Amino acid sequence: MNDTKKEIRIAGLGGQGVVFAAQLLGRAGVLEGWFVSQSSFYGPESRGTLCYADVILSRESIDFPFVTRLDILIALSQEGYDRFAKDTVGCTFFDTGRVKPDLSLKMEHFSVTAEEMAQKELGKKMAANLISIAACCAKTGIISKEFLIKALQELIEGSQRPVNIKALELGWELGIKAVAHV
Amino acid sequence: MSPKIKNLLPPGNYFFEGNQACAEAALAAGCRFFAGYPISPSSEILERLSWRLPEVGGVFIQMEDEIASIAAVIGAVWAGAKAMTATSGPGLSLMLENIGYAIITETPCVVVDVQRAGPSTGQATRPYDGDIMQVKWGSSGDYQIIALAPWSVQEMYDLTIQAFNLAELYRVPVFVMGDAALAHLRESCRIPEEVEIVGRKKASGVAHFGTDELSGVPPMASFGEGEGLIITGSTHDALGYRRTQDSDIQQKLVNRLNEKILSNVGEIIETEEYFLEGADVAVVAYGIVARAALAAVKEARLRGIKIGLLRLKTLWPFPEEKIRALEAKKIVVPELNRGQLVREVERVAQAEVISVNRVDGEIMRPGEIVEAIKGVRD
Amino acid sequence: MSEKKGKEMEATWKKYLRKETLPLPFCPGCGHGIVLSAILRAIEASGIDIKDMLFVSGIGCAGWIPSPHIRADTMHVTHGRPIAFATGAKLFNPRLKVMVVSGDGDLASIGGNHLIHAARRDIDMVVVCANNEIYGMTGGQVSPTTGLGVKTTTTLAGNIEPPLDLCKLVEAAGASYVARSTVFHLEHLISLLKRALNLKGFSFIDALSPCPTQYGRRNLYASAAEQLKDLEKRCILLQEASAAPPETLKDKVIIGEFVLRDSKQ
Repeated sequence: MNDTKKEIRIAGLGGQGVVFAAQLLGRAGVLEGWFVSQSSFYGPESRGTLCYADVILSRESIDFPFVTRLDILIALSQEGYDRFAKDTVGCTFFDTGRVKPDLSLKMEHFSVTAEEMAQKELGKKMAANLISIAACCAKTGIISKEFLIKALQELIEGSQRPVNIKALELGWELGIKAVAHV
Repeated sequence: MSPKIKNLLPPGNYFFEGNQACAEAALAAGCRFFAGYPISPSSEILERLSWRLPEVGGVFIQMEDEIASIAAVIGAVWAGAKAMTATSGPGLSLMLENIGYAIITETPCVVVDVQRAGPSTGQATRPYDGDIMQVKWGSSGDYQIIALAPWSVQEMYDLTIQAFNLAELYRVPVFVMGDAALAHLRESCRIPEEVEIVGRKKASGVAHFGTDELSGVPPMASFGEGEGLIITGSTHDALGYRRTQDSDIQQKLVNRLNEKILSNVGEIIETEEYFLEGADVAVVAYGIVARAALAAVKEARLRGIKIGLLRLKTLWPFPEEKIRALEAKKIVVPELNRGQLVREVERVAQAEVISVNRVDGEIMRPGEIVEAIKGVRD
Repeated sequence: MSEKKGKEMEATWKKYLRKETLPLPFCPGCGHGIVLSAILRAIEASGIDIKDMLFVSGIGCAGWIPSPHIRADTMHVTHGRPIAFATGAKLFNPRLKVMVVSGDGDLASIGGNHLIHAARRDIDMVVVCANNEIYGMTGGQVSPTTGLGVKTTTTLAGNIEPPLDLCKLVEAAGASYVARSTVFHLEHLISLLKRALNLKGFSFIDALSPCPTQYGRRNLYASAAEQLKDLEKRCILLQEASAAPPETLKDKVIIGEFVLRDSKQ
């Protein structure tokens, strides 16, 4: 993987918090000192259809601000995985309970029990998005936990912060322990 | 130049959508009036200013349509405001008659045009360079406007401020030509400690619609200052009196409205050059496509092609001299349309001009431009 | 009012005119000059400083009533849009006393939407419709206030579209003050204008003003004077109309104050 530039796509269904997760990752990237471009793609329906959002982190200013070489895929749904896994050159983080990966693809696959943990530990399935991006950041080292939390504090109102910070911490632990499937 | 003012948001590195950056820039430039009508993909500018303007003591109103929006902007400017509206192609079509009014009455104002795929309703959320000619030629008569083409979220900020400054300097409507992709792209956006802003050139007891020089910009007063302003969209003399049968005054007015811009192109036009020295091929690009073009040029150079990029920040007045000065043998013009600005390039270029187009509402990618470059070279 | 006092008034309100723009450009017998004088007399009687006034007008003969004749800030804008321009000016500088003067084609046809929404917002301004029931400047075409059967250059056999009652329209939309008068009823018209100038909120005055050149001569008026006098026959005061049997009101134009609600309260 290119160390000076990472192109990341979060793919799932409308309603899973895909765009918010990308925005958080992007804001944390800015805090971390990356040049960042973040774009979102969704259909006219807001719930239940394929939705994806991209984040480009670069050590140099970004010429073309859209993904041309997908380094990291974070798949929150089977639809998202099926559509983009074959174009991914680096690694994929997938939600264990939602995605059946195709391990014949030549890249590292990391399984994250995001939705399961979100439900079990937080009583809130919706937090799977934050668990997934935290796991990705912990494993790849692209953004530190400190800046993920700081970005979250900027983007979320006070009363909602503790549960979401907990989600990032849970994801971070999962990411550190994650082992690539082969 | 007027004194520098303290910025409104604390200086720093923000992570903005293009539309957010544009709205914040307007406030920093001194905009205190916005009238608009919802239209994708520009609506976030309207939404943000609906709560941000009252915070800084300004006025926001959502009007009944785009015609009324630009009319209210012009009315507010003559009441003393720096003012802006934002729209997309179909809304711009509705504004054009009153933009003509702003031109003939020399009303400084800013129109943000977040372009989308057309004609007509087209594809409301898809990027397109659809209004490049509409902003220049859409209103009736014979005139000049200024149009700027940002290529990044940072430039949605910087060029919106510049648009306000140019509007005041030349008493002319200035367009910020965004698009659906840039409007919703989030990028780092640096808000500086201070921004340079140009204040209104005011004077009392003088002619507000004419100068001794053929290309001058007169000072302007505001309503309520006891000037007895006479403002009309009809042909008028230096004091504002209608002169609808006087051919000399018609000729003088039209020539000055054009020459005040054309004789100052050196001050107005901004471009950026990348690797043009000794280049056999030059890409001429603007807006978000120029980002793909720069990536393509860098890639082509890695393959040993002598190629450079001329990026146009100013679209109108058209940077003729910059195009004429290109030494490349071939010029490639990529656009998100069937070839609009390329016609202007062809009009003045000394080299063969190749148009590269994308009209499916998708962003042009660097690979497409690289292919075009390879084709040109072969 | 005594003869002498009337002359004194005439002598004083003319100070508001830019002498170099006189004589007025209106045809002999046109009512628009009377509308202009009524506006200026009402301003003088109200004690408003003309320097605080902004007059906005659109396209058509009525657009030339204030611009450039009144010695104040005047803005003569595109067809149908004076209310929208005026809205921007008033919102940015609320100290301005804003009056829109325009015609029936400008305010009710091409500009109808702005009229509705300014009334709905109850924007503080006075809108005077110098209503000649025809497009005068462009050669006498039918307008939204032209009566049924009236001959115009686009209704040679007589108008088949019913006219729009502008007072009812702006009342329904939410205006604070709605009234109608005519240039024949000059003192009445002045009293309505004075009232409107002293209220806050959206005030609308429908001021019937005859057009002998385009309307009168196609519709068999013997003279401009006869057309002016016909306004007296056509109109009935609201108070009288309220007491009259409905069948007698069939072809009558009701004049008076229809809505009076000061939004200061």
